[in-house]
Amino acid sequence: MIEIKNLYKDFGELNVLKGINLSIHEGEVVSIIGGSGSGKSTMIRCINGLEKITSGTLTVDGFDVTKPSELLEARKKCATVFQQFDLYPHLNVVDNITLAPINVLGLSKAEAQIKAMELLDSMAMSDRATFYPSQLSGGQKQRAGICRALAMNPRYLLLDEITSSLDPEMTAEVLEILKLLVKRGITMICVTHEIDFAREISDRIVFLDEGTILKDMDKQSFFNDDGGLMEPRIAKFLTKMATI
Amino acid sequence: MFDLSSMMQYLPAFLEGFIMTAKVSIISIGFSFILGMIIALMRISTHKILKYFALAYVDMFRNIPFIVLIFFSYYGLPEIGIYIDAFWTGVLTLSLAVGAYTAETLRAGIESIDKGIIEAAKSFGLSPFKIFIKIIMPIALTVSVRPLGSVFINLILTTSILSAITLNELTGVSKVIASTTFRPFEVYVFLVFFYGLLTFLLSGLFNLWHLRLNKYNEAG
Ligand SMILES: Nc1ncnc2c1ncn2[C@@H]1O[C@H](COP(=O)(O)OP(=O)(O)OP(=O)(O)O)[C@@H](O)[C@H]1O
Ligand SMILES: [Mg+2]
Repeated sequence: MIEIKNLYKDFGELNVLKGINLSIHEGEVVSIIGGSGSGKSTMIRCINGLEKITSGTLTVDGFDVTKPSELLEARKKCATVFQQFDLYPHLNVVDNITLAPINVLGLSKAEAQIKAMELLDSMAMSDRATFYPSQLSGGQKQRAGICRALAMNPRYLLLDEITSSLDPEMTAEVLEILKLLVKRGITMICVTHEIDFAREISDRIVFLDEGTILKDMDKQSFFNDDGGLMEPRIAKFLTKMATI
Repeated sequence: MFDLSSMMQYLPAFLEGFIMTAKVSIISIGFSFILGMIIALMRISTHKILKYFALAYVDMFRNIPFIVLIFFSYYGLPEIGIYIDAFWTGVLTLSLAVGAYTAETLRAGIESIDKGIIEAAKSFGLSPFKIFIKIIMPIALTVSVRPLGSVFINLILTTSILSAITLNELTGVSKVIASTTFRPFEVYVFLVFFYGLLTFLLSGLFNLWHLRLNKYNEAG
């Protein structure tokens, strides 16, 4: 379980997260939505320890990300897919995928490569295994990014707007893959602007507004007229998203 | 008359000088590379003291003429009880001085790396050391390898100053031969050839390294 209690995050004078309380259980698919600048990315970055939290607690399966001695264990349980892909440019696709399994999980090179090839195969990417990131299309880059995350056998997959650098066709291709992963029962925390997609795959929707959680509801209730839509800000946000 | 054949009997002496120059150069390149990496890391660290120490280091060694440094180490230090022979004085002083240039060159490469890539590696639990070796250095070097080549060619050329502290490297040997043969022209033709050979080899090596590191760029 990822457990966030009373989380505050400031950047100097700027209070970005203001008392977040959120628990995510294994097997859940949680979509985090909200306006630009509401703190979604910051929250994801706090979970994988890329941002130092100002106050509050954040644990991943009991491991406290604020404690240097526990951070590594917490990080092994979460794997992130990034909006800008952030693949290692000097390594080919397979080496991108195997770097952390070899150096963090201690897999042998051969084991890691077999696993990587299986993952690439499952995403119709085996023919790109020896390509460098610069030789891939956006959709292929992101599929490689997903493989890189899955190769860590994470308990939680963190996704921060992973389709927003992609054109519609490639977006569809990546979303299809995520749907497959959800079917296999992976736990996913997914920041997204794809409301239809969130509606389709999520168990729960968390709506973030200016650093606080405005609504945290199961999907059915959230999209009901007497649920999330009761909240004018959410209704407004959803209408805006629908017209884009 | 210009007569290279008169130099043949001095070939072994030239070769000895050549080997000495090569030895000093190779060891100093190794040391200054390691030192440069450490100083570059300190330069970009968020730790204030480390950062300012590295900055002071780089500024100091880039602003003192090398001949002054080498006189200081060879003639100055013994006065306070530190004796090091000419060879190691040369190697260590060169490494310290060139380390400053190496650090700046590497820093430029490191700062060109997209922060997101390093954060991705962190988020997967890679240790800072692994990140440095497996990600930061290879990417930084794709940018820095050429300027680094020039820095090290300069190092080779600077070894000629070590003749001033009695080290029998190429230039020192040549001076002796020139004064015994009274044929400075031929002697210095040889000298030019030997330095050319060394720097040519080094730049060839760095070109190969550059190609290897930039495989992925050309691929794209
Ligand atoms: N390193 C930083 N230093 C200062 N301010 C920051 C930093 N990172 C984020 N912020 C600020 O924090 C706020 C929240 O940013 P965040 O990236 O979490 O928003 P977001 O919800 O992900 O937005 P978007 O939908 O546009 O991605 C923004 O106002 C941003 O300017
Ligand atoms: Mg964001």
